[in-house]
Amino acid sequence: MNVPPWAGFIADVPDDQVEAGGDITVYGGRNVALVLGEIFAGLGCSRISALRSLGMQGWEFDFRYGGRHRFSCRVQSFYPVFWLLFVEESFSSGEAHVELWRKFGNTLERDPRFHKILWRSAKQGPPDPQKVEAINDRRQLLFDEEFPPSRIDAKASHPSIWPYVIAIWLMFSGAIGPFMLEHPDLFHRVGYAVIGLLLFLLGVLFFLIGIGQGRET
Amino acid sequence: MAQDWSSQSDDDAADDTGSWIVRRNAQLALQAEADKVGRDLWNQATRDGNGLYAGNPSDLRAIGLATLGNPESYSPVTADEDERGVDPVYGFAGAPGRPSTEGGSPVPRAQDRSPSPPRSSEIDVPTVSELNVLGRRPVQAPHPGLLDDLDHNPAVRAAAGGLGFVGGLFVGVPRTGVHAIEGIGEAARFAGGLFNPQGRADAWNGTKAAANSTLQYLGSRLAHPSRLGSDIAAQGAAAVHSVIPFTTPMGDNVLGEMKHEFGIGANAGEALTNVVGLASGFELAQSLNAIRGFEAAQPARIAKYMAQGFDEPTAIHLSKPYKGMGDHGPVPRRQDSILGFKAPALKKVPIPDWVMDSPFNVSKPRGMSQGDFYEYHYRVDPRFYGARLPKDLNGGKGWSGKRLELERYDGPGRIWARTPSLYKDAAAAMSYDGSLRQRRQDDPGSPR
Repeated sequence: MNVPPWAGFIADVPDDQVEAGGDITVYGGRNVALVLGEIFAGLGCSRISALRSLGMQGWEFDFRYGGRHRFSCRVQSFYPVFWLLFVEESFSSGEAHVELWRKFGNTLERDPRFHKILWRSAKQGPPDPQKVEAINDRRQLLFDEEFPPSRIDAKASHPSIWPYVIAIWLMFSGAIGPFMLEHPDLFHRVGYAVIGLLLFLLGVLFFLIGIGQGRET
Repeated sequence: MAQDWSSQSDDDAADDTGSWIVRRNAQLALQAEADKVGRDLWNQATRDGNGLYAGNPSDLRAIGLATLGNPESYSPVTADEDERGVDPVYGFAGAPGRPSTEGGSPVPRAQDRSPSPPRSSEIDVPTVSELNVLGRRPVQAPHPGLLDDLDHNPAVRAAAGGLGFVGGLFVGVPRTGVHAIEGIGEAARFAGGLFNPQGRADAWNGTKAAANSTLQYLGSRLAHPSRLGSDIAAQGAAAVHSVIPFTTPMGDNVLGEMKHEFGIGANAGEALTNVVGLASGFELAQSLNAIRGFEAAQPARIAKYMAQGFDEPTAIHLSKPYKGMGDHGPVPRRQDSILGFKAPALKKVPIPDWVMDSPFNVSKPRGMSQGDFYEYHYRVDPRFYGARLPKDLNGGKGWSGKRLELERYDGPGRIWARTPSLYKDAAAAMSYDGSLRQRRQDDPGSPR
């Protein structure tokens, strides 16, 4: 199996959700995200970003590991249960992802602020908060027992070819369009020239998106 | 060449030269118009699938000159006929050096003599012998070169046609906008005309004429109902030919076929945009209806959420109008992708909130309650599984799409649902404009 990106756990931190007039004004999970950021920093990660609010989807930050590998971490509160989404955002062989995930999983397990940690695959999605609460801590396998190194495979990720395909298609359409469609009146001729230019520029934008996929900031 | 004419009398020579000068001047005066007529006929033949052969650009002028001189004398011929030696302009078999048949030559028979090869010094000097070919170019057999072979190779033409069709698809989408603007202009002109007596009279006459022709058509089809079927079949076939590639005869050469299929591709793209616009219009009508009836539907919504297993306070909370930030589809708030493609460099771009949260980037379907939006978000966002509710609701369990066993949208369904309403409304407006207007004669370069 590949690295499971989802986890559910209980964290011994105060509930930081803010409510007013029966509605949620600030979603919780910010304090847990800060703690996790510190853990990643302790594991050798760098360039840890400020937290971003994703509204009802919680809080997110990203960081680097091993220089060029970029990861993101999202925390969503169902206090006292929290969901964690940990994914690699850069294109790589996936080995750094496995390495960091193993270090992080072990550290989280040893940290007394976190309990009942359940890792789930992308297909399974995060565990139901009620199921997390119902786990019997004593009967749970240790991280290395549940995920021995032989069980987790690195998954390589590559840039998509589609932005280039769309770019070439758009630029081709834009470049030849005005010459292919003939019309005696000026309004249409100008219209087709504008369409051609816009499609060509859109194609250039997709080309830049294609190039930008693998380009780290 | 002069020696070739030495056997003629001086009177004959003077007569020929005078005639040539008159004809030459007349043709020069007609040149621009002939070019246009020739090209129009060639385009028409390409659209109709008639194999009019014009191997050189100058052939178009010859075709135009012939048509201007005697429109009845011109009939399109195929390349095969051309290869057999049938003149595309005058319908006579013969190339320079070949004897002409009776009645076909543009040149009086008395002058229709076989020319001698010109000396290099005389090439640009008009001579009487040029009368043999004046107004037309010699019918040339395809050059036995690679490029010419490719130009007439059916497989290469088909490939060019396919490329043209694919290229035309994208162009058809914004072309719908051009036609929409044109429609708005027409409507404005019509509305403006109603403010003066002449405009009102024109509008009334137009309405009467349209009503008359409709009544005439209905009358004739009532008298001959069988024709109605053939009319429908003809319209259906025309519609299919106008949007489905390779259902019309192939053009004579690579460029002709490419242009032909490009036009069909643009039609298909425009038709697709209209279909999308109609669906958007339907969605727009539904959401306006939902907004109008939101209050009235409140009890039904509460009942729905209670049936899903929520307690009453939670059901009431979920039935309230949604006031959140919506779904950021094209560029997510994380700013790490565009249209689903990773774009890490985007994080460095300072996108202000008024752009990020604008209707260009946010999908927030109208007339939705809080619970409706959770369901919508679960279906379109593969990373959204649930949300927390206020602490005292639902026993602190929050809302979970998985618990409700909702299904996610996939592929085109997800793209459609996640597209901000602004774009769908624009497509609906363009499509509405198109459906109001009758099929019009435009884009002569593309089939309809």
